[in-house]
Amino acid sequence: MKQQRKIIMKRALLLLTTIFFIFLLFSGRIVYIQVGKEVKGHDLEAMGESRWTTSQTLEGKRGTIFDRDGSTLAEEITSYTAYAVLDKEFEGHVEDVEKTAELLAPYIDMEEEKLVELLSRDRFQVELGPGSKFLTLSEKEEIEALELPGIYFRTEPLRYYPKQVFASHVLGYTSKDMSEAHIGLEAGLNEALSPKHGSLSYKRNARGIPLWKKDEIFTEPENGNDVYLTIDTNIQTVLEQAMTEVDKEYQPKKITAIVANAETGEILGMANRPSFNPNEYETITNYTNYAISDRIEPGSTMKMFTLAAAIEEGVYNGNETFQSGTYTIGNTTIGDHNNGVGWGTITYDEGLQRSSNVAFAKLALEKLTPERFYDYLKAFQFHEKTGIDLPHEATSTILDMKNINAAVTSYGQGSVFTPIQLVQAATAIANDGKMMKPYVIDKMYNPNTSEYQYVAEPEVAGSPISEETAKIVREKLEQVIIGEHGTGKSYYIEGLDVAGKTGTAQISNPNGRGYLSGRNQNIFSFLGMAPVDDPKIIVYVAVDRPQLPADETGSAPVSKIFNPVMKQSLSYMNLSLSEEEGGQIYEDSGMNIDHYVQRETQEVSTSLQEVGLKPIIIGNGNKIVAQFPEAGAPLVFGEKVFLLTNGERTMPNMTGWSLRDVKRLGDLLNVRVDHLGSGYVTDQNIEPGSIVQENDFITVELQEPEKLREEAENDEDENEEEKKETN
Amino acid sequence: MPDKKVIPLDDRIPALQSQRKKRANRRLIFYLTFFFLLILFVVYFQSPLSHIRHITVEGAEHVDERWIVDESGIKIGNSMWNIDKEEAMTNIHQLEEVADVHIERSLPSTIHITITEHERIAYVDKNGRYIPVLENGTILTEQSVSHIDAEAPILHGFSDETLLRTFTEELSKLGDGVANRISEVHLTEQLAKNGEVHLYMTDGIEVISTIASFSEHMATYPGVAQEIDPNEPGVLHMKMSPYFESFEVESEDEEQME
Repeated sequence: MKQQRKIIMKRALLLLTTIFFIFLLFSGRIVYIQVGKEVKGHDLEAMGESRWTTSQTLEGKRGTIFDRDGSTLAEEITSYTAYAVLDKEFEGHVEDVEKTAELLAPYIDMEEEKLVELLSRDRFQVELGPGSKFLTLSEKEEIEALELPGIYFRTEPLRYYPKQVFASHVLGYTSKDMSEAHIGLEAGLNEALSPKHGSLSYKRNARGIPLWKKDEIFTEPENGNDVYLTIDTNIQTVLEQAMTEVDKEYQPKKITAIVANAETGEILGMANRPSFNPNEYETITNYTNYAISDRIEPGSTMKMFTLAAAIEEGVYNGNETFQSGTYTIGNTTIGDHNNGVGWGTITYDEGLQRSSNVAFAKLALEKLTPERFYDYLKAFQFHEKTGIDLPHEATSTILDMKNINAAVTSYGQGSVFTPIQLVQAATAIANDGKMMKPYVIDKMYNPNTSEYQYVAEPEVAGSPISEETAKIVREKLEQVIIGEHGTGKSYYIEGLDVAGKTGTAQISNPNGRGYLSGRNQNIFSFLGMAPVDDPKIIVYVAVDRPQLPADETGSAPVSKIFNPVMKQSLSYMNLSLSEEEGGQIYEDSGMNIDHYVQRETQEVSTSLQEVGLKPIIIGNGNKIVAQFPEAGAPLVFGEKVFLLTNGERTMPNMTGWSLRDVKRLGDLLNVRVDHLGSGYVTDQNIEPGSIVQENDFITVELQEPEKLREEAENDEDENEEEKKETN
Repeated sequence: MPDKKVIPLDDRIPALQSQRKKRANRRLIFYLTFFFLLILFVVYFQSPLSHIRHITVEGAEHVDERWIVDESGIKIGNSMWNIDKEEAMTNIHQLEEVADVHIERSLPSTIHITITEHERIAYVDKNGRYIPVLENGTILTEQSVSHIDAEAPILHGFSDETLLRTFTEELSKLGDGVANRISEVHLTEQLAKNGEVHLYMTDGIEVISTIASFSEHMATYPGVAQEIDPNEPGVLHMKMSPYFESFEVESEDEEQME
């Protein structure tokens, strides 16, 4: 018995010891791991961290490029990329390979057999080739409508240019995924446009559900800046259309055109041919923005500046005569463009109209002297870049100051300039002597801080000539178009006074000395401005080597671009320019009106008139007791403001008022208004000048404006008849 | 084991007694106050003191105040504390003309209802009565009025429901400044065919614009109108690019003939 008990005790002790040791082992291990935090060389802490924290990139958006009115020229949009899930285990995989391939192939631009091969691979999922990338929403929806199982989409940002071929060289382009930016503003402003990507890392539980507020690290993405250009969509559209037509009809080597606001230097339109569609950048043939990067001998358009220099120096006498035809300088003879025949002895004014090279060589050498002529080239800043805010502006080259060089430069050969330099110099003539630096970026908006990062101000680049000279030059240049011998007759636009200078520049032979010869082997150009007395718009157009039909001259393709563009720009500018100057009162949301009650009638009335509102004063008191619209209401230019004064409530004469204004008066006077008909008031029941009582009714008769006009005409007819009778 | 720290009970009696008395007193006062407060509480809730005696409505210009009160479900005589503000606000919100509503208790017995109405952007002329159109595009067909105020322009000839919807949607997008400038809008069959509308502006200028992108085309009106003499007969076309069509050609011809 005792023995047995002993054995039991022994066994129990043994068991206890075993258990104790096992326990010790495990706890030892636990302590070891706790302290060492390493198992088989893996850092446990880091492993855990990576398991329960997730980090994801938050993508910012590349800035949008807008035109001057805020319509989009380049933006980041969402695109879709299709892919197929093939794994049979996966619910919703491609079931019928043949059928899927047959239906899908035409949408993603891929051969059916190739697609069958792709879809038969032993993979979990496959990409469907370049044609399945960057699909638009509507394309994606079309594919979805096929209801193919196993075809899925993921979204990807894409740079998109909604206006297609539109100021393409100004905008430039980015690769579709925006990883690289090429040419134009996309490249030039890449830093400002690019977003800063943010990130979010957070911890999550075993099921992968985020544990919010638990050591969350959040770096907010910053969107790129939005850029507003000075480009005007209306003008640019006309420009692109006209250039496309000319390009098709005459197949020139290249065309370039610039439309600028003559008073500010804003570039309203700029285009080149060959151009490209930035959405299909694989097909670009020409990467050069000729308007700023091409160096050309400008030809006779240059005479504009030689003339301005001569007038400014007071050495130009338009009635003085000279022998045209040829002119010998040292051992070189230069000739007029009609093979050196000339037009006999003519005046300088006629020389300008006929674009005589001899006239201008003489002006530069004999009247101005080369030194002074070169000073003016400098004053017009032909020796340096304009500094326009577009990348890759080319530099000009002016020939050394020798007599022969001064002579040829005076009529635009020899020295090479960029088209934008010509436009900048022309602003001096257009803008009464003040030369404006051209610019294309109007403002930049930072959406993260909701502030404008940059707002452009027109900048005066210099004052090469006086206001008086500029005016005379413009008058002389108008004669180029309307004068008897003018070379610019094809630039005459009905109803517009255009001033400008034509140019036919020879092109240096790229394979040797001298110039290319032949009827079409020239750059035909025109640099013009309108209206003459106060130019608003400058347009420069150059067409390089067009295929001219026998009955047309080089000015035909140029005028086919210049004329519609100038016409459109002016009619558009005339109606929209003033809107920018006046501020809020010209915007559709209007200006908020002040509180006028208790103020002096006279003072309020004048201040309202000053901003362009029409005060209607009721009664003859000197203090205002009520106003309509009430303070804070938005008003636009020319709106009536009703002011009730503390005097007697006299009825105004409402003839010609609109119904709504009558109702407003009724609201102000707190009387009921009834009306008959529609249009504008012809009759009112309470005579003007009589006093309105509290519970009066105002009744007005209205007539439609068409009928009013008819009546007015009838009246006139009657009056005329009467006159005749009395006569 | 005997504790040396124990103080004989007798030594502490006087202090303990007074302490006990104080505590009992305090407890009695507390219970009594509690009791009376409870009674007051019950009395307040049972008597008309807690009932609503006034309901005020603010901001109702077009909607009848009584209608709003009816709709809210709050009645005079209900308990101040028994109203469901959320529900009442939802109910009032269901009125098409109400944009925003706010209900507040004001003790002792008043309920303030403050509403913001949707602005009216047009009145549609229908057989001499006018149907208001709200800024959110709702057309209040059932609530035509016979007399209108100056808040919105009148639309004539819009019998086609879809055209009316497109146009009012555009109108709501237009800035208030210009919208305030429109006196009347006319649509004839001929105009409808071209998708155009004819406007009489308060400044006396006649305008023809398109129904599609009306708001865009009209946005530049103030600047454009400034260039135009309202006395010169003609129609201003506010389209992609605005232009003025003058009717004075005839008279010029006459002059030339003379």
